[in-house]
Amino acid sequence: MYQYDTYDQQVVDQRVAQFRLQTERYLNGDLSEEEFKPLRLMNGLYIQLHAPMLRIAIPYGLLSSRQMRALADITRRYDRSYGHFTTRQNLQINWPRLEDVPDILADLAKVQMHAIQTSGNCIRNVTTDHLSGIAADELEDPRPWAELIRQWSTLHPEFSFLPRKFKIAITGAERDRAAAKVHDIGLRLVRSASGKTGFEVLVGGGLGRTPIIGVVIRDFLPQQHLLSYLEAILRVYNRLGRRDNKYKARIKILVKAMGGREFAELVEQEWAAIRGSRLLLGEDEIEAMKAHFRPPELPPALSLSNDELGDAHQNSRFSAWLRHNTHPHKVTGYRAAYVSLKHPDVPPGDITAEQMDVVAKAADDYSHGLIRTTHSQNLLLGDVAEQDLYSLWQTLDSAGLASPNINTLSDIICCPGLDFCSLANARSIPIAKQINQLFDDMDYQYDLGELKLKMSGCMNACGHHHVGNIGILGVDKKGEEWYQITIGGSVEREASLGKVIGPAVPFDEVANTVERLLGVYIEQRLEDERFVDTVKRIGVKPFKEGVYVSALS
Amino acid sequence: MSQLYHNGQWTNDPWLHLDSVDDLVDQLDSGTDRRFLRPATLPLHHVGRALAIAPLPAPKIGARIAPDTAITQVAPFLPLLGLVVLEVDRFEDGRVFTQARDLRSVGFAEEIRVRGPIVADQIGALLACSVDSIDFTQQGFSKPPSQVTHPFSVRYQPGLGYGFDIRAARRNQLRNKENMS
Repeated sequence: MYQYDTYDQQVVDQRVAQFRLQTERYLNGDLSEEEFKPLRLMNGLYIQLHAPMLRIAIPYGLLSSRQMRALADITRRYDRSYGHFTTRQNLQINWPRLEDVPDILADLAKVQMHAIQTSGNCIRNVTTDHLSGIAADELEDPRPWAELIRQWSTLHPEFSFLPRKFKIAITGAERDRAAAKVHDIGLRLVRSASGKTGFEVLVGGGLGRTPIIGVVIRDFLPQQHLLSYLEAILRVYNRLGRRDNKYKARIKILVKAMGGREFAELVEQEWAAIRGSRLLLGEDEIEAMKAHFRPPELPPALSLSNDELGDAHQNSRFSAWLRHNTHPHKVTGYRAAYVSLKHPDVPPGDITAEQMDVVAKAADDYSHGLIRTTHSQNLLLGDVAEQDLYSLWQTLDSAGLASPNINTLSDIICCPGLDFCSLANARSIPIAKQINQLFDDMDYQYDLGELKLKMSGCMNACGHHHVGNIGILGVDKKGEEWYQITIGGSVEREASLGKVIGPAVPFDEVANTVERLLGVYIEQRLEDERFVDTVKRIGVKPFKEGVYVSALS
Repeated sequence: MSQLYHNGQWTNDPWLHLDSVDDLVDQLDSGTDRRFLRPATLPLHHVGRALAIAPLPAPKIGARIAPDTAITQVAPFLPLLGLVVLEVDRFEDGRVFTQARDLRSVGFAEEIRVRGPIVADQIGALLACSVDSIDFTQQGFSKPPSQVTHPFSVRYQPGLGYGFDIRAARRNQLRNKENMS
């Protein structure tokens, strides 16, 4: 894991001092509301429905147990003893007092954390694959590159007032678990014909009001040029991105209007001028950064199959957890274990301070003190010996963190919605509850197989509904909450956007509509065919008929 | 009443900011020795004519450009200009940061100024992007303390106007380590 040196510490300490002064000036009336807004947003501070909301950065979703304990402590001291993990691998706390935020930031800085650029029209927290360094389909661990990007983008003076927010994702694996294709810039580590490692560069992807899959503007970028190429893209965007309409200001709109080829030409022209600059990464710098992310030394461990572990412990709940909440590790005898934050009675992604402490201890005991956050609002312990899985499960189960539902229907991705967010049109947390209540039979969920249900309370799409196998979008119709349903979205392998099945449904009908969709799937699926593949094969029409015709009959 | 921040000081503006070539002609016809006339800026579309009627060395001429002006449009005049003013209407308009760096990248070595309702917290970033002076135009603007204008002494991005260059320092550390081994 990356460890700050004195320079990194200076940056975050000075940022805390800056924000403390900005907050004081705002409270004294020396900064207007209008002036303070972008300054606080750049530090992750929103003013929400009930209170300020602070979004804390977890760069590329990697936390130490010490940091997790510090987060637990912060939620106890300054908030309501819980936090909410987001789809961008960050943590939000929903009830801090504005006056306390500088102290919260100071406490974060003590454990090498911050809230820098977790909001605002700047380069946001870079995200990556939660299975980095673990997955067998990985070409190279993307996290050293993510950290290099984090540093380059942190407080970049040229790019602090972009036309709109800017998100970068990077993946090193064949299967895109970082959703790189729906980011402003998506980077994929690839190998050239001559065996050199570099990046495939995509731009202009995104969700929100105008969901678009990104386009490739460079098939192969030599690795040493990563920062200069990113800077070239950002410069073109900063110059030409629209500023007259915030709904048309993302880079995807510029790329779409201009065409991928023309945009790529401008980037290449810009890059030609700066590629030899001091942004060029030296081999020694790259290697020094990679040294921070060397995998932990894993002693040889006994390889145990699910059957062997199940037979040894004779516990059906453990066996279910083993099947659904663990992932193969590239090192024999180890697995990655998910900590499910999708308990049926709890809003998706929420975790209490006590649970954070449990996870921190479990990380110390079983996974080298490291914790990962996932895009699907769960946590992951990356390097657990198979012989320790039962003990780990017992620990997590006793804390309500072992719902055996990863990648099933109840592993719902969900934004905070109208219960907390001032942008939302409709509630999303109660819809998740409605769905959990209707589908409380785990065997039924297991029979459905892999299924990604994603829900957003408004067009900003924080819940990534466009790329949900089933997507649910909250809309406002004359003051009432309605929900538009899409099917067939996906970010992995062949990325695709979901298609609307028909007219929106009222609040009370959402779970029933999902049930009817699943009824069509069960009837139509081929053996072992996933929901999303059935939709691709037969199209939307049978689902539409199943939902609306059966609702009328 | 504007407030000019230049080279780390709050100072009076030596430049005149004219709207048309006629205003410049009035200056030239005022009877004052040209060597003692105040330098003057004009909107970019008047600059060609201004330079024709007021050739160097005096008075100095500057150009005022809008955020959507490409630097290629100003480039032909740059060797003759003493100042380029980047004008903004909204402090959130971040195009000036790139415009300033573009001006330096094409070799413009004279003063670069930003003019508009800039927030004092942006000073550090503007200076880092090669801006020399900032003309704050908003009503009731009060001069901020140095902690506001210069909050950071270190910077991750190489090759920028000010602040300790973290990457350069680390590169030196790595090379020293290599030489020692």
